[in-house]
Amino acid sequence: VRFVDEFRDAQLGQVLAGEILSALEPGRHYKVMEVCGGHTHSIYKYGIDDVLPDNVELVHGPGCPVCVIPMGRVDDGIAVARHENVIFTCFGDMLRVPGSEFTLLDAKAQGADVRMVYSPLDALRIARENPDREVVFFAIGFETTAPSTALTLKRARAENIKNFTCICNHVTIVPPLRALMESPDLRLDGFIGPGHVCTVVGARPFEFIPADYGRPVVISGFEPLDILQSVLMIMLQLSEGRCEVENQYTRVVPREGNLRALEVMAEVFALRPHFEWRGLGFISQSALRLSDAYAEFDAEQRFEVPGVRVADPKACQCGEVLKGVIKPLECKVFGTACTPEHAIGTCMVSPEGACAAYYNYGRYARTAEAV
Amino acid sequence: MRVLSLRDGTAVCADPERAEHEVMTDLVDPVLVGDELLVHAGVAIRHLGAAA
Repeated sequence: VRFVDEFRDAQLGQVLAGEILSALEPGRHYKVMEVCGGHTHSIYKYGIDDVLPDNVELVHGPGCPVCVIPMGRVDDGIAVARHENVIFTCFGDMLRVPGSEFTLLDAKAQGADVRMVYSPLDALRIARENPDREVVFFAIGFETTAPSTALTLKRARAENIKNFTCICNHVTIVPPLRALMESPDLRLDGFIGPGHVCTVVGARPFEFIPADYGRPVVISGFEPLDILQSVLMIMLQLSEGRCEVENQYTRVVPREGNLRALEVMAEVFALRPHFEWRGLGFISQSALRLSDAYAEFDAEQRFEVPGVRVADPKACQCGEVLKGVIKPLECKVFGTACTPEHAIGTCMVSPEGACAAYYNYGRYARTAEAV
Repeated sequence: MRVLSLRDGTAVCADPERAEHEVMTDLVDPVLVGDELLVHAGVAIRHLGAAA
């Protein structure tokens, strides 16, 4: 497959691993955070950490869209889904995210009309086909997914569809990264930047990391050679005393991003003053709501939602995992009380969650064997 | 994803597993059948290349 096969060459991977080793300072331990859940998934799917030198540690960041949805927002969704006339739509991963008592899948089993969709456009089609029902889309995701919601709402307006609304949970990646950099718990040497977010927002929003915190960022693709080359580029910056935002994913990411996407997002969304992130707490200006011009499509205005903050279960350490403070294996319930089949935390639900990646690609089993 | 057909600002695209998806193309330059697109949640966010 074009753009895929040429970036999965095992021999070239070994060459890159050798070059990374050559760029390291002897005796130094390096911590590099991959921001995006897509990178976490690739790292464990392809065993990238196995070919890295022992003193290069990959730390998983907060860039998994499902993982950061707090329990209170799931409860809000369930409350709306239980309205008699509502068809509630969401991405498949969201169905299994635990709320305070139930998941959306539980609500469906209890009689709510909850349907999985692949895109907001699918939800709009359902609204078109069911003019007597209220169709609600539970929108999640970072800047990669937000343009799809925005365009869909513009289509709904253009078609004068009145029975379609959205619970907007879109979040932005820069504020949690800034919060992480301010955290005393974490010492990082560099960042693997989120390639697809950058396709939309460009490279500029990440320049604060080298400018304010003196750490390199390399925007990376998602294939194994992309990630290995990005780690090498970070190590070369460190060894040469450079510190900047570099773009490894030049075949996709333009420096200025996708200006049309930014324009449509600016029209449809506005920044929330603050938003709760699972495990990370409230972060200022880190999420999007519908703009006043699109308020008619805001499900939170059309339906009553509880809006209650719910504390994470005590046993769950998703917050520490999302901040890169602990590895999934260090969580007390990993692989025992919390598994992909019966998840307590969100990081075990989504394939992009660090815990699910560890579990699904055998980290748990391999570590158990080693012990 | 590869563009299979076009209609009213929407493309039908095939993913690498050949499953078909409806994709909005408003955010990228005009596309033709056979073009490759980077697609997220039903919208093309980057035109990757023209049909060979």
